Amino acid sequence: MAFSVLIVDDSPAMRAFIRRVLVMSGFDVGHCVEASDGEEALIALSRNWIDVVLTDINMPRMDGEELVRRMHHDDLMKHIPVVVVSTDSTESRMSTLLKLGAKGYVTKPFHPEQLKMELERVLEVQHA
Amino acid sequence: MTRILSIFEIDSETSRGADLNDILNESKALSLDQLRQQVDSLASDLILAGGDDHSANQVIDGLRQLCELGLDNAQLFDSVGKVQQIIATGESANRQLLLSNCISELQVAIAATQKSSSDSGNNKSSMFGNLMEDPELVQDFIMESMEHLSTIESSLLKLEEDPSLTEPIHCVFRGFHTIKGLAGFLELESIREVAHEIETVLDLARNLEIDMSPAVIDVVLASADYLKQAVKDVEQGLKGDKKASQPTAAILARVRSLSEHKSKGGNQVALAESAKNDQKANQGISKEQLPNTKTESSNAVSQFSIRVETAKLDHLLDMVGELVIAQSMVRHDPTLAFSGSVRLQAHLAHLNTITEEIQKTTMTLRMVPMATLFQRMKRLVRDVARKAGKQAELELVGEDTELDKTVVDGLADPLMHMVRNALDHGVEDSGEREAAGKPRTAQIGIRAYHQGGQMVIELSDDGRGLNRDKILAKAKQNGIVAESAHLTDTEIYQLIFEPGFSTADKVTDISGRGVGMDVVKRNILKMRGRVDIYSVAGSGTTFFIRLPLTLAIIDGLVVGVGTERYVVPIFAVTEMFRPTREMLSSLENKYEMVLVRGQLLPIVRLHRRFGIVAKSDDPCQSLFIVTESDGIRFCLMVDEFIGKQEVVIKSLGDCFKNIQGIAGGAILGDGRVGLILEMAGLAMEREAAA
Repeated sequence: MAFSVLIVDDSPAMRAFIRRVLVMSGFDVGHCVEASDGEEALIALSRNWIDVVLTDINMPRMDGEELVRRMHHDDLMKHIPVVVVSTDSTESRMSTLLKLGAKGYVTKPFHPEQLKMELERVLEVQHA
Repeated sequence: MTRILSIFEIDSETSRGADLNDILNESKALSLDQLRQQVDSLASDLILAGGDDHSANQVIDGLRQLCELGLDNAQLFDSVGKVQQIIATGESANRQLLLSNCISELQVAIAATQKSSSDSGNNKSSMFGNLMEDPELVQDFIMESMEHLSTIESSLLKLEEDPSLTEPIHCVFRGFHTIKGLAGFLELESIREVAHEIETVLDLARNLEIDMSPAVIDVVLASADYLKQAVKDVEQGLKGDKKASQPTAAILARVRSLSEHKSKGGNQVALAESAKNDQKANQGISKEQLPNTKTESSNAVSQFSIRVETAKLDHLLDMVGELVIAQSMVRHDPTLAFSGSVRLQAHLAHLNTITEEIQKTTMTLRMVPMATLFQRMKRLVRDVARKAGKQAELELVGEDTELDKTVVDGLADPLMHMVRNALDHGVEDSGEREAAGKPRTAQIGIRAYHQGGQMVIELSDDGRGLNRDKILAKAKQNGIVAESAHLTDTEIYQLIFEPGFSTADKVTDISGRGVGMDVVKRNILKMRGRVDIYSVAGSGTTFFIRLPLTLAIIDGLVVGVGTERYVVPIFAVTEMFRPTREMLSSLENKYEMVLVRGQLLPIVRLHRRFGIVAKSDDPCQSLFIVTESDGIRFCLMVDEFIGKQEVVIKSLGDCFKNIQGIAGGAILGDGRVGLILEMAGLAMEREAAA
């Protein structure tokens, strides 16, 4: 089954990179939706069928933390797994996001396979 | 075994760290077999611990798999060490996440090992090598990095004005952060490293652990410059010319010294820590309450614009010019006057309005605001003032004034040079200023505005002003001016634009080498502009740069000589008159001169220059146009004045591009072709003839 992915990052180039890496990784990507910040992501989530969200943390307007928090408190969206994609690899950051409801965490730059495995892991967790 | 188990009991004892070290050291000394045993015991420990901990089991599976694959020891030790470390240091809350991260890492390692064993040929190739080979992605990276770098620069300057602002810091941080992330994917190690280090510093600043002092901003600006160059190098690389990347050591050392500097002041850190917590508490709210309008608007601009080749725009502009002319030809067609149809007249009038509107709009397509150029000046004034140890403030007026892109680009270098000069030579240092009764901080002003279809850029300083006598003496000494010459102030001031002219007693590394001002003038002339200087000794100098709004169209006087039509660019014209007999005189019956307002000016008879027959050979039956170019004034003699018109400049092609005195051709309102005169060329010919 192909998965619909929402990529949230304020940098268009970074979104292009992630999309590219996703394709390279062999992960079964179906529909690919993009958003440039948390606010746009929430709109995209309300309009599209999304299986998994890949989000950056540091973004203008609404950052990744707030996005994760909002999604977790929304009955319709809290089941959509969120994988945080960030250059920030500090533990405090990871644990904060995990507590808020993120399901996965990938540190940039990542190997295509790493991303794929993380995605498959969170999606499996979801199905189990 | 029990030791490993104890690692899993996360918040048990304090000696945990020591334990971990033991194990790590131990595992380095272990053989692969022993390591396998370790992994096995780790697994049984997990079961014993009552763990149906799925993730932990997966880690163990991964480690086992690695053992099976016979991965080289160092890497396996490393992995085991990492697992242990993660387990040992992690809080229970994020243990699962850390474990799962570890799993994916292990799986990657396994996959990599499997791959390398299957194709042993090219195993050590770059992880993301194929990303770098995708020119589109690299182009995206370059464009975006450049955008971020210019935002960074403007935010930093804002920050310097008011260090208490928080939004610019966030903005700068985000910029570097994104560049770092992107560079990571492209494996541009030096860019990533510099961006990373600067990010560390900015993070400290963001958390109020260090102040954004001018010194800090200096370093951040320097690293932005470094990155700009590095990104340009990448762009060059994309075009095929490989260039060695710049050394990073120096810039890294500068940046690191900042973050290290902070950790020394323990007291300060403690203070900052509390402030940091406060800020963190507020962060969630403030971010929502204060949406970043600036970023939004700039995003909006970039979203609703497209890039178009300038060649296409030029062609469009050209064709619109033709359209206007063709339209006017139809309107003035005599058969139209005979037809007397009111309806036709009305339609034509409508057409006229539309064409005018199209022309206006097309003209604005090439126009860009001066803002970017001004932005550079802010940076320049700041840098130069600091370097020269002077205090200066820059006042900018008219950032939104629009100007043809080509002109803006061409103006950048001359203006930068003039600003540099103004700061270096024009402005005195604080002590001298105080002694002269002036405020310590010098004022540099750049004002841009439209005036009579021209762009005027005024650059003023409140420095010491031009020293008339010193300039004249220097010019005489250099042989630029004859010893006996008597010059007006204006003429003397223009001398500073002579090649190799500098009155600076000492050469600084900012300016004063005597190159530059002549280049400044040449560049401005090339754009059909002019520079005037107004200076009052002791209270400052003002340069007036006048430029055409666009290079494609000029305002011209259409004059007739015989049956021919010529266009005299209006910016070169001072006045027009018909001479009386008394005004004329000649030197040795050869050099014709005319006396205009007490000044004797040479005459250039256009019909003689171009070898055509004029209506009249008598100057008193002709029209004299006083023109000025390169500081040389002369009178152009033509038959008659026909009108003033905006003309679209057409090149005469490669064949005729070297003809002196003609800048190009244009189609006139009546459909005839007129040649556009170039005054500097005509003046030169006059000199050559003399």
